[in-house]
Amino acid sequence: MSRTVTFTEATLEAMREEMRRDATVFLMGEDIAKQGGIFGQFKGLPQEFGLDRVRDTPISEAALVGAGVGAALTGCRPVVDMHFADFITCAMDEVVNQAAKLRYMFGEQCIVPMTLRAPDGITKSAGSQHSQALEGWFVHTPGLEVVVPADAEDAKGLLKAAIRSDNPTLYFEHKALFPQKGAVPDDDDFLVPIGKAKTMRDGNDVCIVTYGITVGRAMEAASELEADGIDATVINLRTLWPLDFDAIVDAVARTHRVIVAHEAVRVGGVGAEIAAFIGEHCFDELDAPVVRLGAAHVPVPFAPVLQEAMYPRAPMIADTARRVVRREL
Amino acid sequence: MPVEIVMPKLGLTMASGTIARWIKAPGDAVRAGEPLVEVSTDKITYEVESPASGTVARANGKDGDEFACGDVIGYIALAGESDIALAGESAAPFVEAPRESATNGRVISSPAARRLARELGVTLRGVLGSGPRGRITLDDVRHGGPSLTPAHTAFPPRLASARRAIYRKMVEVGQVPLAQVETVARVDAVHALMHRRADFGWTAFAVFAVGRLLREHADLRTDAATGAPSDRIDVGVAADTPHGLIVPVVRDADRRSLAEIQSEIVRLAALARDGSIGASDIGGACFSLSNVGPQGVERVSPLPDPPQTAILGIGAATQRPAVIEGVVAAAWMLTCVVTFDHRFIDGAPAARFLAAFAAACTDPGVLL
Repeated sequence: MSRTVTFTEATLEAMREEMRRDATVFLMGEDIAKQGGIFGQFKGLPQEFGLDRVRDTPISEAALVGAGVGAALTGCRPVVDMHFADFITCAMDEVVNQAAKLRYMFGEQCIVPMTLRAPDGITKSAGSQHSQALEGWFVHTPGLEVVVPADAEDAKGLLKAAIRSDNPTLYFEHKALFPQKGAVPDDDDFLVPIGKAKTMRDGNDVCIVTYGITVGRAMEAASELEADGIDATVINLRTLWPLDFDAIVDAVARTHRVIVAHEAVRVGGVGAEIAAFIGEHCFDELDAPVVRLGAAHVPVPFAPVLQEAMYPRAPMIADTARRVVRREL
Repeated sequence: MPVEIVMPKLGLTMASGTIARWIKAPGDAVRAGEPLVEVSTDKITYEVESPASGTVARANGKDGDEFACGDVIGYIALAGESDIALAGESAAPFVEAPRESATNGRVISSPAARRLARELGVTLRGVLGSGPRGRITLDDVRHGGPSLTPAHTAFPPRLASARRAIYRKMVEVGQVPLAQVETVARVDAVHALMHRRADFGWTAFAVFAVGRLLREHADLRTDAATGAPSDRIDVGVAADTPHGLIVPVVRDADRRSLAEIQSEIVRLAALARDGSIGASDIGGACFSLSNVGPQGVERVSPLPDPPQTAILGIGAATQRPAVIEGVVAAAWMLTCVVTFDHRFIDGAPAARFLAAFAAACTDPGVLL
């Protein structure tokens, strides 16, 4: 059985279930206890679990993540909220040099089971410093797991899996997804396995490999394409590291034409890694060049018109797919 | 500016030709119309005449090399043009305009198309690409049809070059789902007629009968390249020659008299025997006949010649025991086999055609 809930409620359910299940799970962040989070994603948690387990912190991301790493080393499973993913830059040493490295440097004598929740992405004119998608940096850094939910089901299942993971896990939740509704299974132990992609839709003409909020945009494009007689596969990667290479190989082998799409900047993005992987491992399967769609290599503009023109939305994905299928690319 | 020597297209279905022998070598003087190079195609060898007077400046291919029709196989330098500039390949006139999918001589194709071509044992030369800059895509290979020719890398190394055409054909036929129908016809009437008149043979009679029957039995003249019956009823006749199997064609077999067909077959057989048959007498048939009667064999199981989709094989007409009105008696009998491409032709139409042919052999009057 499943219920329809918002993405926000799905993350709340995940938090509640994991905090009830495991007393070492606790939350830290700015404005999460008193305010309930800027997207309401922590509402009600302090009432149930108390201020010891849902802690408001000073505005210092470095201190916040540093405390999370320390708590994780000493046996807790902290969930640390970054407020906006953009602010993770203040805690880069803690994420990249501490969290990612310790399990390796101490020969597995310690683990860092910390979850970093990072609301990211483009919403209505949030400006250059509150709109970024930075997952590529962390995919590039060995020692971290990176998950990106695309809908309510992913939101719940991936958050629970991240909390239970023994590795530091970055959980990028798109700000525009919080109010979106979706089905969530009625199961306290529902987990979305880390490292497994989900085929959202099966078609033989072209394959759109994507993740996060762009999955919905790709699905919208796919229904538009269906009207034109083009049958698209849509792969929701769910986890960016470890990446589900098998799912990618399988989709390329069936469609021979691939678009990799994400909202993050195209240059040096995760799409580049996926396209290169396909070039190396699926060369003989390709009937057209792999096309990457991503944001323009500019800071996200404040002006709404410019903002909406700079990242791949459904019409751009559909148009690109048409050109790929019609042999124009 | 030097004049191109191109691989000629000698028939509708010809996609490529092989250089059998350069008659003139680079540096040789040549007059327009003088034999320049011998090319061999599916079935024939043909002398390409020089397109201009001058000096053979460059031969792009050596003996045995295969080229798509229209490909430049060499150049004639006109009086006053420098041979040295030609040899250096730096001269501007030698930059060929992109043709089909080739850019600077390289065939542009997707990796998946190349892999499929390897698996099918075909070459991408001459395939029209539907992608940007003429890139050959998977679908172009899948539906490339007759423009695809099996790659010569598929030939066994010591295979005689004269067998290449038949080798390639048989590889192609090997991929076709074939089925057969067979019957034995009582042919006393035709046999008696043949003896009395002595001016036609079984081959001519069969072509005569088949030509007329194919008008009605349109399925049997389906062209695999188009999937529809061909309009003209040209019938190929398998001929055994010192150069191997050759299939000359009796054009418009449905509109010719038995006597005309007989004399046409005699003419074609003579040309095929001495290797001088021309492109106009080869290729383009919609159906073929194989007659092993002259070898004294009673039954043959022939293979169609793509893009044809059916073939009739007849053996020797011999006296065999037959049951006639409940009594076993000697009768002249002919074994007839039709092999057909089941992708296009079903068993019932093939059987109806064969029954009609057998009936015509028993009573030729039905053809009139």
